[in-house]
Amino acid sequence: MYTPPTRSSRRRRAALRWRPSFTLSLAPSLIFSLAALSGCEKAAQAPQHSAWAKVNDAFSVELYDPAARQRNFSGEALNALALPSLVGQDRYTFLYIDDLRRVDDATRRGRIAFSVDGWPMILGFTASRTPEGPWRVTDVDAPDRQRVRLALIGEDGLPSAPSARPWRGGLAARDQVGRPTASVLILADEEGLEVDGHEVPGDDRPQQIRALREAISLRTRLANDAHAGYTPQVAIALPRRAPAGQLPDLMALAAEGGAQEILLVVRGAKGGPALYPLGRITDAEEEAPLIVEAQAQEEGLALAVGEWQVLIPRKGPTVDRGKLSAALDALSEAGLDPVGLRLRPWSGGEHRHTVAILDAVRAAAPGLPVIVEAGS
Amino acid sequence: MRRATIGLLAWVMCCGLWACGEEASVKMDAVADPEIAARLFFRDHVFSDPEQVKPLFTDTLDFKDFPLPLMVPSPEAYAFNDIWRLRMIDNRAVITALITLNGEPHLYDVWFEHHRGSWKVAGWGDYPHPVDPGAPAPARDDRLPAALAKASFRDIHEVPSMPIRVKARATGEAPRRLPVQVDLRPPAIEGPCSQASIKRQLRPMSQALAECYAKTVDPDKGRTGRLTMAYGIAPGGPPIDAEVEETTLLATGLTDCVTAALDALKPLKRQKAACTVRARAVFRPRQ
Repeated sequence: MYTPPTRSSRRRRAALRWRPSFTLSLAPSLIFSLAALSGCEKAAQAPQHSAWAKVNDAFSVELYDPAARQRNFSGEALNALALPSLVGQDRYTFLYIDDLRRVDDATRRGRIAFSVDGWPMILGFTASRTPEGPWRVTDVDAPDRQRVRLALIGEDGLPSAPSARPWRGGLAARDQVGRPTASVLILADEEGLEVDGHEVPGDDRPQQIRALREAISLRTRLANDAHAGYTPQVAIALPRRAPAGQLPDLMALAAEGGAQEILLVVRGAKGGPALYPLGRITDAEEEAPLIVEAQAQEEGLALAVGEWQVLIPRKGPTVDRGKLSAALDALSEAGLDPVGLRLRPWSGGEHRHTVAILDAVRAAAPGLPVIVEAGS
Repeated sequence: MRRATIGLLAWVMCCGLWACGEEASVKMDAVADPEIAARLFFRDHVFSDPEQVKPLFTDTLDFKDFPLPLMVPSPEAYAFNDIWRLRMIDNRAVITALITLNGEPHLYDVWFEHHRGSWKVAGWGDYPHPVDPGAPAPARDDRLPAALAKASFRDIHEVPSMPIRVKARATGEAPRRLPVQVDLRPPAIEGPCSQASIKRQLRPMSQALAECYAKTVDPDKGRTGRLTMAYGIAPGGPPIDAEVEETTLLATGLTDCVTAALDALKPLKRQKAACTVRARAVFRPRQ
């Protein structure tokens, strides 16, 4: 006999019926949902179709993600990629793809720009398309080269000159957004010699001069096109431990290459890029009317104007600033008002000694231009 | 509990599908990728109806001025081959496209700016450059559009006016033997410049032209050819408006190398009036 269910028993039975059906209907939905999301995740991770996109991702958001690195770089490129281990993520900023050139259908070569501690820098790469389709970075600059370049911006790299003026350029003669700097850059270190970030054989002076002329000519044309006044400038970057005689030699090279103004690349007040002006190139017969001749030497800095001579004693890598200031004051009191100071680097010293003296003179007499004698 | 679970599930799915759709749409029209944007433009839109391509150009440009359609008699005489080079300068993507115009391969610069999520044409070069399609890779050329260069010359560091003496340096290096002999013909001069002073000024050009040939022309092909170059002389100043007027040597970077060499010629310091110089060089590979 059939007994109509009461309201409470109906609810109980319905609940009993619903539970298994809920479980069954939820499972496929959940599976579908997860599949949809995982598929979507795969789509997001799927390689982009252009070499630009792959290189952009590989060196920006994904450089510090080990799993992504495995995906974006070939084994050889990963072995050569020293950058993430040399520089923490907090110091690294990806800037842009400086250059991406077609080599053939499946190969691109170029350079990316990044900055570390405010210094725009460049890293060369090759990207190739694998047989399956996606692009991968298959080669980067040699790890030693990356190490040497990064060491240049550290405390043992370029010399420090807190009085130098901040510069928006870097070690590839580009600013933070890829515009060439007005100054052509000569960089000389243990890796060799570069002009505007491009290697030039260190022992081939005619080729170095040609590279400089081309770089200066490019700036001149740009300035003409932009209707800007421009005097050819060269900025020289040298590590602090370089022999002091290398700076005058590179200045002479710059002059032969067509430079009319020369500047020195140093680490500024906060360790960022800065420039120290060194003077204008002129023919040897032209002379400034009254100038302090300064010869850096082991004992200190010998100053001379005609008969007037004084030795400022060495103090660490630089000279005694108080005595230097007093000597320059004494010069003025003697009625000798020089228009500037010409420094001959200490032949047995290092580049850091030259820069330390430049900085000391600028601190002692901010209005007195200091130039370095060029030529070896 | 049940409703909450269903609601949560639906929300998760909706969010997932919405995010997925967003990703897919970005990938489809590739607006975030300048390389793909450039490919689409050069492949599909050079000959599109001007009103239709208007949104592909920035507001400040008159898209009707875009010169490529005017350089060929019909769309069939134009073909897009590939992106030859891509550079990012001042947040713009400067694209050098390898295209075919009237059957001849050329390179042409167009730059794109990122506007409201998509890359738009923001400028273009004056004219396409002929290129040797057999060249293995684009030559290194740091030239960039003048419009993007202006900022480079702002805020230039002042250098003290004190002169730096440069001690004479005996280099003593013998000139390198190059794979080509350059015969520089007597220059044609328009204006009151003396033939002797121009010849003196052009003296380093034979070596420079040979260097340019060695650097840009495939040495295995051993090609003979000629080149006509021209430049102006302003009173007392350096050479101006240097250009290669014509050449039978199609080689990437040759024109730029020669104009750079002309730019680097020493000024005629005592020259009081302006003139124009035109000179022809003949290249003969050494046996």
